[in-house]
Amino acid sequence: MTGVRRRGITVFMIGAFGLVANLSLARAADPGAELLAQSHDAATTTQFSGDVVTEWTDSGGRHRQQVHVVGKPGALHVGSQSIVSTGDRSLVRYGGDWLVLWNAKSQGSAPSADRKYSLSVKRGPLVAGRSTTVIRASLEHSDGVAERLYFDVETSLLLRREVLDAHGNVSRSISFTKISAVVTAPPSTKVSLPKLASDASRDTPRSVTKVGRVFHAPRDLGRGYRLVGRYRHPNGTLQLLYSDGLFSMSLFEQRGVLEWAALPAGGTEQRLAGRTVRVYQSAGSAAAVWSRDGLVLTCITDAPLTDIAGAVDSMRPGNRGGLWPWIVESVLGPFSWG
Amino acid sequence: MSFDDATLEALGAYLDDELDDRERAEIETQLAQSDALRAELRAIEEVRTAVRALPIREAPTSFLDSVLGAGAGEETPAAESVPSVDELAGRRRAGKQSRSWRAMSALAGAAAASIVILAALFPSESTVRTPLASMVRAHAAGASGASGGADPVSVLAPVAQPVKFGR
Repeated sequence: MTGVRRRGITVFMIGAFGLVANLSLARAADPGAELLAQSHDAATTTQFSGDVVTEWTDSGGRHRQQVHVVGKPGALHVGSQSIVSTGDRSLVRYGGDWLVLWNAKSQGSAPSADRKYSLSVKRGPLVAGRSTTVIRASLEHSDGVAERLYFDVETSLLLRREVLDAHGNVSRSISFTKISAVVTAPPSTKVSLPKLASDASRDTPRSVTKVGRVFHAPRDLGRGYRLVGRYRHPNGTLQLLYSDGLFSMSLFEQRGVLEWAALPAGGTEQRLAGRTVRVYQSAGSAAAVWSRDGLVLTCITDAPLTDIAGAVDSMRPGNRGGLWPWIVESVLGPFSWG
Repeated sequence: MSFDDATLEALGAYLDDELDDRERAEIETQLAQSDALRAELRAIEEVRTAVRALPIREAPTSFLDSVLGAGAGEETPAAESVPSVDELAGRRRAGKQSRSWRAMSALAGAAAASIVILAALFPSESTVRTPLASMVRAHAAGASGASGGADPVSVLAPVAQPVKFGR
């Protein structure tokens, strides 16, 4: 290889790298995506105390519940200390004992929200007496707003979020109604964790890299959801955690046949992506339960119902690769490792 | 000279006139060619005649219970029973049927093997319950900690109180 040709390739590589870097910077410079990233950190670096009200609608009508939230550097106390989150670790108190509800790091990075949504940033109304910046997140090439998020101008703390349905109505909202002592605490501030019981981690899911041949863990789910974590629960249930940068979605997979009669009351049966699905609405999320190929699938998300339909469609049998690969997997599975 | 079970069964069936035309022709051809086979046929016939000459006795009242007990898995001394003509004929038929049973056993074995293979291919599916409330909590906890994930306050606040559906 001549020196001229080598220098040419080097210049080309540098140019290509620079182009990629510029594109990355351009993407990261999206003000909406940047504000979203800041708000996630603000929840655990800002010191505050306030009341959060959740309102949602289901077949039983309109519901409302309120909890007290205290933010301390590195930890979040929600609902009179019934839940404490320290980022990767979440603890919950049942009775007098603290249990580890979550103790696993995510395995992948969530995509940037502006890959899927058009994020418009504007000055917002007062929320809990504080000035806000509002992000309206719309699907690309769509006039409909999927979500409105209101951030504290001073700290970037998320003060209110509204999830909208296909008709533009607010189907769920979570909002501070009162907040005080909002200050950004120094990162060196020590966090005190509750004293854990000896068996505090007995029900904690563990992070896994392989899900087993019976289960199905697509890297991408629905429209724009990327797999960020695989977790195995002590009862054998597999939990797959997805994110589209704005909403999160968990897909739980259990081996067996769905016992429809044992499902909680209050759900509605719907046809989504050609399958019969039982759909529920709870305070902060929607849930859908259905079955296929000897698996019971439960999708839980804070996203609109249309995103659940996308997940159901992604998990239809035709997306698995046919019957023969499944038979081969079933026969050879017991003789393989991992 | 000894004969195999199949030949002895065929001789018994020949004496009982239970063979079809083709089978009868086969055994008669063999009898015409073999002195030993004819001797065996005569021996079987003599035994049957002698047995038929035995007096018929009434079965004791406990006989039925013994039979039923044996059917229920209790040991019954078979040597105490006196073989009757019908019983001997039954034994012959049982011998004939044993082939059918062996064939059926083989079929049953093949069926069982098929079931095992199908069970491996299509694992038995037990009904499962879906603990929705626990799943909602697990989702919230996981989502709040995921990198670049949802806002922790808005995800965890709804599950701080018992999760309810449609109530």
